[in-house]
Amino acid sequence: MDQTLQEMLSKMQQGQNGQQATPFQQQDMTAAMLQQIIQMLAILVQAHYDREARYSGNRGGGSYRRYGGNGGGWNNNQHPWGGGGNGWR
Amino acid sequence: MSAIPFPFQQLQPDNYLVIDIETGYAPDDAISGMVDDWQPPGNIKDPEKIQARRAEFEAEARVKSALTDAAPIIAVAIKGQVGLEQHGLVLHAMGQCPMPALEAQGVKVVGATSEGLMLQMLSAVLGQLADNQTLLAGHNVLLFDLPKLRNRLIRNRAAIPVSLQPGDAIEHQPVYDTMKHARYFSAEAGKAGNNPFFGFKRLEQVLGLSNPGHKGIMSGEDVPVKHAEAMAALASGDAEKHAELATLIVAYNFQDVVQEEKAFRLMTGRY
Repeated sequence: MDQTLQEMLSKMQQGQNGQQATPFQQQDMTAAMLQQIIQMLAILVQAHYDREARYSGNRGGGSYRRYGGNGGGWNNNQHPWGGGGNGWR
Repeated sequence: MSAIPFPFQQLQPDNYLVIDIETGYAPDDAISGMVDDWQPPGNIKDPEKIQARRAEFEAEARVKSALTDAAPIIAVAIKGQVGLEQHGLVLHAMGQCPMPALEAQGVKVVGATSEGLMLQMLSAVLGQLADNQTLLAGHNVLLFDLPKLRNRLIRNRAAIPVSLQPGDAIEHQPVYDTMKHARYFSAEAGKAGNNPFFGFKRLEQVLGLSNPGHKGIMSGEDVPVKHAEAMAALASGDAEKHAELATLIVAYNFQDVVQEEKAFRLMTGRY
C-alpha cells in the first residue's frame, strides 16, 4: 500500500480513538469547590431577586418601605435615585 | 430558590454541520483562459520582464486553477450534530470503488461517477439534514467552501439546498468560519498584519490540536495532484492504483472535517 495512504489511515485511527486535547473534567472539581461555587451562585441569585422586588412596582409601599423609613406611603424624596419631583421620571 | 443546574448545560440540542470540500484542477481550456487573461503589473514595462512574469504565472496557473470557479469539486465531507456525529459522510466524484480501509473505520463513503451526480446527492442530503437554522461551520467556508459549492451546484444545475441559499430572501444562515475567528484565539495572530489568511495547520497549533496533524502528511495542494493521478489510473484501467489514490483523497478530506469540527467545538466552548 502507498506510504502516504498508510500514514493517513493511521492518523485517522488516532484521531478517532484518542481525543488529543484533554477537556476539563467535572470530576476534577472537588466537592468543596463545587460547594463554594453553588454558595456564591445562591448569593448572586438572591441579590438578583432582591433587586427585582425593590425596583418593580409597589409604589405605595411593599419592599420600597425599606428606603422610606416612614412606614408607608410613597415619598419621592426617598426614591433611591433622585428625590423631589412629581413621581417617576 | 430552586436548584441551580450546574454546570450550565445547553438546553437546545446542538444543530450544526461542518463542511469541507476538495477540488481538482480546472479543465485545460479554463487554465489557458487564465493565462490569456493575465495582465502584467502596471509598474513593469520591460518586455523581457513581462515575458518572465508571464512564464511564472503560466507555471503556477495549473496549481492555482484548483481554487478557481472553473475547478471541479471532487469530494465533500460533512460531519455534525445532525445525525453524523460519529463518523461523518464523504461524497466523492471519483467513481464507485471499494474503500475497505475507510469502511473499517466506520466512515460513510459514497462515490459518484461525476461531479454533477455527487452534487445532486449532496443537495438531497443537505436538504434532509440542514435547514436555515443549522449552523454551518468550517475553515474558510465563507470565502471558499460555501461559495464554491453554490457555484458548482449551479453549473451542474443541481438544486441549491435551503441551507446554502444566501441573501435576504430567507433568514440568514448562521455560519461559523474558524478562519475568520482564528485571530481572536492567538496572541501571535497580529504578526500576520491585516492578512485574513490563517491556515488551518496554524490554527491546529494555536488550539493545541494534534501537531503535526494529517496536514503534515500531505497538504491541500497535493489533492489535485493525487486526483489527476487517480483519474489517469482509472483511464488506463489500473483499478487498484485508482482505488488507493481515491481512498487517500477521501481520507484526507475526512480528516480535514474531523479536525475542523474539533477546532469549531473548542472555539465555541463545546468541549
